[in-house]
Amino acid sequence: MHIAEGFLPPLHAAAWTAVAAPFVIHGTRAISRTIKEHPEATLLLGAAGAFTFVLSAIKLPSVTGSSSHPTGTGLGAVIFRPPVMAALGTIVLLFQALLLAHGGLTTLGANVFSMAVVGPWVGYAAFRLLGRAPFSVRIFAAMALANLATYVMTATQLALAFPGQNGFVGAWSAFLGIFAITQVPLAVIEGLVGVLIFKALRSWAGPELSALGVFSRRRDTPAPRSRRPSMRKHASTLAILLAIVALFAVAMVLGTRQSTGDGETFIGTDSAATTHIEENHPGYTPWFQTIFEPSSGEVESGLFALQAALGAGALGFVLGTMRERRRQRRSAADDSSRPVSDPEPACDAAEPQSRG
Amino acid sequence: MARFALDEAAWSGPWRLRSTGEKALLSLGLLTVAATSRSLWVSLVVLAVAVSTALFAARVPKRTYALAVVGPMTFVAVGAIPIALTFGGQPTDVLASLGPVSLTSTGLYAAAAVAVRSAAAMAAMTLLAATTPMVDLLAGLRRLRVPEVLVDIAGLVYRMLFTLMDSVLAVREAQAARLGFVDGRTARRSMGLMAGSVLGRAWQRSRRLEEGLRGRGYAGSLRTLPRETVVSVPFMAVSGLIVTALAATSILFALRGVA
Repeated sequence: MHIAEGFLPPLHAAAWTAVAAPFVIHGTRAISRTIKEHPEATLLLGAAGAFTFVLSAIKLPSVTGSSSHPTGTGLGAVIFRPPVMAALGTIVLLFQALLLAHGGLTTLGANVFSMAVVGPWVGYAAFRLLGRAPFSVRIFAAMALANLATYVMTATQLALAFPGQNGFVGAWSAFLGIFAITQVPLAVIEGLVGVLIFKALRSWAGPELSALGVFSRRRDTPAPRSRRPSMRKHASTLAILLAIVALFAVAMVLGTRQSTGDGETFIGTDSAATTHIEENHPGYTPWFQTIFEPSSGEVESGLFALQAALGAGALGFVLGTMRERRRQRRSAADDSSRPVSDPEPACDAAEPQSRG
Repeated sequence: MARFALDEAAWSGPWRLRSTGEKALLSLGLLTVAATSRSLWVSLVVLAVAVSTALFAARVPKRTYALAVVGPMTFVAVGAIPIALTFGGQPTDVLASLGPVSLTSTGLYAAAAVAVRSAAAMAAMTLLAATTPMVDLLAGLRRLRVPEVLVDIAGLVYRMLFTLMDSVLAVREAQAARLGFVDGRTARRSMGLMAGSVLGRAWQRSRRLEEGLRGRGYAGSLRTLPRETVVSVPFMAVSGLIVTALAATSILFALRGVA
């Protein structure tokens, strides 16, 4: 979703350019470093840029029969990493502005930020966070979320520039609503096509992609170091737990200090928002009534408990299944005659075979 | 052969031999005025100047110009709809309303102002894009000390663009001939196959280029000699005058508070 030339007020355009600039500079540095070591990478990056441009210039068939342009940022982020995409995306956006008149020079910063920074980072984060999921799921999530994040960012930029009479939130939901009609199906389509692209890529450019480290990380974790990842995993779990505890502690301290005068210390956000609205807009009447209201407080708390119980049940089931599966794998690995010290590399090695 | 309307116009137009600096001064000056102006009238004047310069002075074919502008203008129109409409709340100056959605006169004015400003800015940029080939622009960026790496990559992108676009069109035609786009499912599959094969080709091509260049002492940069052009003083003076006059009017209007 390109913001057209001159669409943003000058201050906004300048501000987004300033926000995007550090990412582009960082990306340029990353590219320069690579090129110093491997001069031939320039040609590969040029080919990648041309590919991205060509991909964005062709139309993508959509569910409804209409067609739309893919953003392709998720794909690039997975193959080339987000910092490189920031610099490469800037070049591609410049070409789109000057050859296709899509986007523009004054809105280049805003478009770079949404399409070459936010999209790739979100897509790449999804790809990495789903490290254990099947490869196609990871690619789908990366492509679809990169597309969605780009569109949410664009809506945010437009809503900040044009808040209208209802302020930022009203304008934001208006922009999101208008774009959602085309963009949500497009995100799903882009995810599906992304999976197919990678399927095709694996059969035609497998060695190149492995060289870039897309498909597996086996190269990075050779057998002698195989103990370390699990230790690192434990350490990161511990760190996350500590961070959560610390977050709660800070919130508690700040919360009690903030609202000493009001009597009730911890009120929900919903009621806080309601009181705020009632204070500032006395004449406001809600324009929508809840469809269902529990007949008594007992029923309400009962429903809450039921919801929590269902959630806990599902969570416990999933955790138990995963634990059991892991234990079985471990015992299977121990049973086999090979003296494998840690079952994890064995699982890693088994995965690509099942995929291919 | 793949073609881009603006690129073709830039290579074949009479302004191709003008220096990049002249054209950049005029169009980027107009662009700056258009993007910063708060006055509807200044935007309209910029729009008129940019369009007439492109069509009559630089003699960009009218059809090409229309084709290049129609796509982005639809984006502007779609983007202007949410600005014109107000969702929920109790707006004061309602012209028409449908449920929670209402059309207000302030919203409509804001949308019109944005659309005109955007159209003017786009016309200014199209003036540059339709008169200056990418190669000249990249040489200009190099002179402005944009990092060498980026200019090199951009140059390579431009060189590879057309062959890759040809590959895409060829693959597409072959797939269409084999009923590759009959329904959504096959179309998606065809798209995946096409993108995969084109990326593979891009890769191969870059490797072949690299091997060929390495044999000729390639060290990471593909520099070519830029064409020498003479800067025309009358052109610079006239465009400087136009831009300065428009900028001054814009500032004056902003100070006086004229819409």
